Amino acid sequence: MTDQNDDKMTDLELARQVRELDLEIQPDRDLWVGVQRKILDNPRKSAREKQFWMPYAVAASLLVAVSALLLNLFQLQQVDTVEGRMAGINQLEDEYVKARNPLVDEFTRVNHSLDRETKTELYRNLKIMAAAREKLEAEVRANPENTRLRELLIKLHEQELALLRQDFTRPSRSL
Amino acid sequence: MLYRRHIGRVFAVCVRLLKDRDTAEDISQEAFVLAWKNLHKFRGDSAFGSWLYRIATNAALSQLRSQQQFLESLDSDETGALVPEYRESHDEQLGLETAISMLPDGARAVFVLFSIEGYTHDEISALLGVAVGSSKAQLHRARMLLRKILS
Repeated sequence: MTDQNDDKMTDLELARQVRELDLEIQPDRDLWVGVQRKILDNPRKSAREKQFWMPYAVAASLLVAVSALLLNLFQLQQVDTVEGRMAGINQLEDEYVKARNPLVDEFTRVNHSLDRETKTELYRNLKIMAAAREKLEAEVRANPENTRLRELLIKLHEQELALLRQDFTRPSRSL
Repeated sequence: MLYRRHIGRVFAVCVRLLKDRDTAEDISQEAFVLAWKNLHKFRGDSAFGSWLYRIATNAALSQLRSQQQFLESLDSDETGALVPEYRESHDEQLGLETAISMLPDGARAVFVLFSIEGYTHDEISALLGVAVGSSKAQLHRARMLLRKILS
């Protein structure tokens, strides 16, 4: 028999001996007393004790989440409202400028023949109206939620455009 | 009583891994205390005994890991030095239990876990924090040393 065969035999014998080993070995002394003492020194927290705070934690988390959601929605709504109003103001002014520009040209052409004093008075009044419009536009932009200011601005636009449409060279026209 | 039913297996794995009976007794106690503290984590999807033995195995390995020589032993593949030294001082035929206790720590741990406790090399690799190849090498080393000791 070769050394390899001897090793193989020993290996099988080793496996047999391992199978025959006792799975249990008893300690020399009773360990339960020590186990009991350690358990009493460090009482176990039950799962229920450890997790009693879970519903509160879940409730708190939900409360925070819902609050955050509502706050975000409110802020989004506010942004939407403010942005919407500002867009409305921009549109209002754009429409006014589109209507006004051709009327200014027409006004200049139609009233070209007026005397110097009348034209001076006319343009002075237009200048006062323009200054008032600019102030009112600034106020409307500063207070986009104020519908009363917006109505005043619209009214002023209409008055200015009505003035520009007039032909002051015809009789019975006065400022 | 759970203690009476399981102390034999718990102490067996501890004393085979740790070699020293006093330390094994301390770790066996610790395993029962740990099981008591973590009883809420026992899900019942395995036998209580298996769960308890795993706790005991982990506790014993944790104790072993705290010893520098154990970590060094896991990296070693030396097989020759132990046997002549032992044979010179022991004339009688040896039992397997004694022979196992003579193994280097790393080889003994892998042999106990694989051949006696039935862990796989993958599980041993995870438990000891070594590569699967190292676990296999340590098992080979343990078998070779045991054959020499027992022959």
